[in-house]
Amino acid sequence: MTNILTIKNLTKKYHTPEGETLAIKDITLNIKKGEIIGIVGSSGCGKSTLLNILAGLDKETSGEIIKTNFKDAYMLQSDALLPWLTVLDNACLGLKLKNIKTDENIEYVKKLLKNFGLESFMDAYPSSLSGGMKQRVALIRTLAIKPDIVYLDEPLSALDYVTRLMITDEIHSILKKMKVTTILISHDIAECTSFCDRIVVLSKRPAVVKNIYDIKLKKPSTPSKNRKDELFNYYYDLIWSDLDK
Amino acid sequence: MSIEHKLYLKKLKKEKVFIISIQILITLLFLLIWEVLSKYNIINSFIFSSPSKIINTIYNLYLERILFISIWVTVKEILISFILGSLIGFVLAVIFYMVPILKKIFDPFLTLINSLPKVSLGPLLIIWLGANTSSIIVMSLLINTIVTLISIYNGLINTDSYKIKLFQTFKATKLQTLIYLVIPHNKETILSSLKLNISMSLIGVIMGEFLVSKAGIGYLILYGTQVFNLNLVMSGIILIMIISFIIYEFINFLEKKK
Repeated sequence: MTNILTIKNLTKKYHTPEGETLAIKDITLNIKKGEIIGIVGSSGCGKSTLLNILAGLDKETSGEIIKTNFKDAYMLQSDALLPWLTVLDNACLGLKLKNIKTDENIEYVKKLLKNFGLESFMDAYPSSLSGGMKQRVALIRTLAIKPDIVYLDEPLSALDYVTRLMITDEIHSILKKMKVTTILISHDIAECTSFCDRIVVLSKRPAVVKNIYDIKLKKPSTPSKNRKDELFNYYYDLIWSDLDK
Repeated sequence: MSIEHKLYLKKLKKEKVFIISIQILITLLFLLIWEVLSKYNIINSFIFSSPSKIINTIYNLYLERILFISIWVTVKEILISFILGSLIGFVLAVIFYMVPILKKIFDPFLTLINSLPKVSLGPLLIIWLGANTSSIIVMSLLINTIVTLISIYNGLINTDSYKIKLFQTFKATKLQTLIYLVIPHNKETILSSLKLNISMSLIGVIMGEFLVSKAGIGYLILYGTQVFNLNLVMSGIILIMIISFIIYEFINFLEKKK
């Protein structure tokens, strides 16, 4: 598989009047086209910083990020739906901001809404949706711009456990079907192990790469089924022992 | 509709009627006591006036064709300073939001202007702008613009940071973020600052009229004080109360309609 994104010796320092904080130290990583890669690490280790730099929301202090020509999209922890827009308008927000809200793209969004069972809620406002439905709209908003890479920043952490498991399967299947390269950050090892093809374990701050695992389950399937795979616990324990507690 | 829900609505309505009735009763009782105390000379009616005298004075103002002219002059000044103050305050708040360094530079000056009792600038305004309507409007603007600016600015900077980040992830421009997120997100803050602004405009205009006017309700009150016609003073105060009540309710109506 070809690399879609290469990170070389990435370092990030934060400056405050009190002093300098080294958040990320010398990270080198290749992201392959079409893979789902998970980045795990303890809270505050610098996972989100890394994702923000990749998404262009923050700037690296040193190092290099080699991007092939791709479109990227970001899905945040909270759904961040705008309460004054309808579900359809919320889903089309990225299209509007990028000035590509064409009839064809709107039709595509409508199709996605239909696939996610939200067809009858198109003209509804977010306040009438459940947490899981809101998160689905947020995912559609992310996918609407037809990205080649999707950054997922603990996208389901605000949901209850059952909804979370259900939506994880939905998101996984759609990302695989669309062959979208995905970078997921999470502090939930089980979620990452069941969802990703590869997992990068980061150390405590400053974040350095401690280990990279290719997840090769016996019978790879949906994330909820993967949790029951024979090798699931093997990887889970490996990653768990790597994490700085 | 279920019987329980009907009962619930009935209870709500009953409570509302009760509250309004008590409010009317309190007002009538107050007016009655005032009238009786004044009529039987228990209080000095020359100093404290009385409801009947106030009604009589307002009626005479009407007959002399002064009533509506005075109301119009004051309302016009309030409206001009309200519109100008809201616009200037809003535009400055947006500029400070878009260019944060400007806010940092001007912060101490804003605090200084905000803490200054504006009435102390009155004599200067008369000398600079002359004893005319512009002085009154500028006086009112000094009071309402800064309050509008500060309250709208505080709303803008408190826009949900997650939503701002969302816009950044789509690489939205600052202008797009302002138009599609920050302003709609702060619709209520903007409306409530307009509500505050209308009261500030009223205060500013009356203060201005005290200083320089030749017409308007502030002028009536000032003139009444000078000739010791306290009925006129009280009438002026009542008229201001009525105007401010009507404007306030009008904004409430607009707010509900949105």
